[in-house]
Amino acid sequence: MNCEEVQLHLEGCGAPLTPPSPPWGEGRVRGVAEHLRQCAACAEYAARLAAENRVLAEALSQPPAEERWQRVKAGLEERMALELAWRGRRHRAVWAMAAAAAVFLCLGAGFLAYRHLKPDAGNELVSDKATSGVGGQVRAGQDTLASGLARLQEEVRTKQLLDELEQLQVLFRDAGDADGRSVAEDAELYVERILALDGSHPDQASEILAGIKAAGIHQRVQKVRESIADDAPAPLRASLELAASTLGRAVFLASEK
Amino acid sequence: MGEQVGASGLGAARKAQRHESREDELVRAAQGGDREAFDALVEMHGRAVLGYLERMGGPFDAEDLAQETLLQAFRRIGTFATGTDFRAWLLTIAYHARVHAVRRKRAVAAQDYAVLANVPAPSAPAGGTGLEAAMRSGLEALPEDQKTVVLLRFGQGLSHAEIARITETEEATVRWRLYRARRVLQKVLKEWAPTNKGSGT
Repeated sequence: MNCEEVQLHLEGCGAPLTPPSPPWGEGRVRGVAEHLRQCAACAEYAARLAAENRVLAEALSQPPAEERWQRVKAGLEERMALELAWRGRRHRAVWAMAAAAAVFLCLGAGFLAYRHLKPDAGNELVSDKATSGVGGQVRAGQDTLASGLARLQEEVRTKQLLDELEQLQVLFRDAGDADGRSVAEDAELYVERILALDGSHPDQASEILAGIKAAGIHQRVQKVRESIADDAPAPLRASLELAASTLGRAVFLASEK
Repeated sequence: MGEQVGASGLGAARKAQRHESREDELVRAAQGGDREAFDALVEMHGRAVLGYLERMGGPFDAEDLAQETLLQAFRRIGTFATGTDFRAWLLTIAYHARVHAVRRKRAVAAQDYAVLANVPAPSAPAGGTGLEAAMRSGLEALPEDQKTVVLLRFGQGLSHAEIARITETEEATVRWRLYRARRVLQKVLKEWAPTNKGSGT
């Protein structure tokens, strides 16, 4: 090992940079120590470097000004306090979530216990609801029938549909239209039945309305109306329109039931 | 042997300061949530962190970076491997905090950066002895990587291996940087020495 190598070693650079040298081995360290014992110049060089290191260490390891360090500590205290407060908030959120989960679990357990102690509780509940639902629908249906029937009867009276239907019979008779006259007579008969219905007895009313629907009088009036010529007298067409509309609503009430 | 020769004085002084067993106890207590133990660790090693960041200089506030370093340590104390060198760990955090600060500054527009570069370093400690002042000017002449190695080696007494771990480089690279930096600092020392003969340093 020559002086140049030893001095490079002592200065901190054990070998050329490229390629990077491996860490110094034991053999190299022993070689340097032996060389230093034999070479006075290198020993002096090593001593000078050591003195230089001490000066550098002394200059570069001086502690910072106490005032600055105290400022760092004060600032750090504040930031750590904030950090801990933030951690606390984070934990509070976790606790709140845990409490909410516990409440839900208790509610669930309570519900299961209730079902367990009263096995048909759920079914009762459903059947009650179903019954009340059906009852409600029936009541609503009855209300609809009664009110619809009342409105229909009122309209028949105000528009004097029975008179209209009698006029239609006369017109058909004069025209020699036996079929038309027969339809008008049947329609008058059914309208009279409608007028006779009592909304306070919905079952009975429904039954009669169903009979009117089954008789198909509405369709027969419609057919007559469609069969008459466009140049037929306006009162004839208006009377047929009114009869068809009234019977159609009666059929609708029967369907609603 | 270079390391042994150079570090003999530093190593002895440093070992005297470390109180390893006491430090390990404090670390374990701090990891268990003992705030006072962490404060004691900060008191033991915080000045070294601030000193390193002050001497690194640049357009950064060393006090802010030191606070950031110690706060990071507080957050990550659980990840510290007990039995290893706590100060080296703190200096690793400080080194990375500064690297991130440099990157953030680079993100600033070039014009702003030029302005920042001309602003006197806010962390430069005022005053100091003649040697310190001379050394500060010498450090300012060094590139960032060489300055880091010099400060960790002579300022903090870390070994080449520890410095290599902190800076995430090879040991050979650390030695090379140290060699280059020493050339500059020797000039500073030579210029300083003739005017301070008999000063005792």
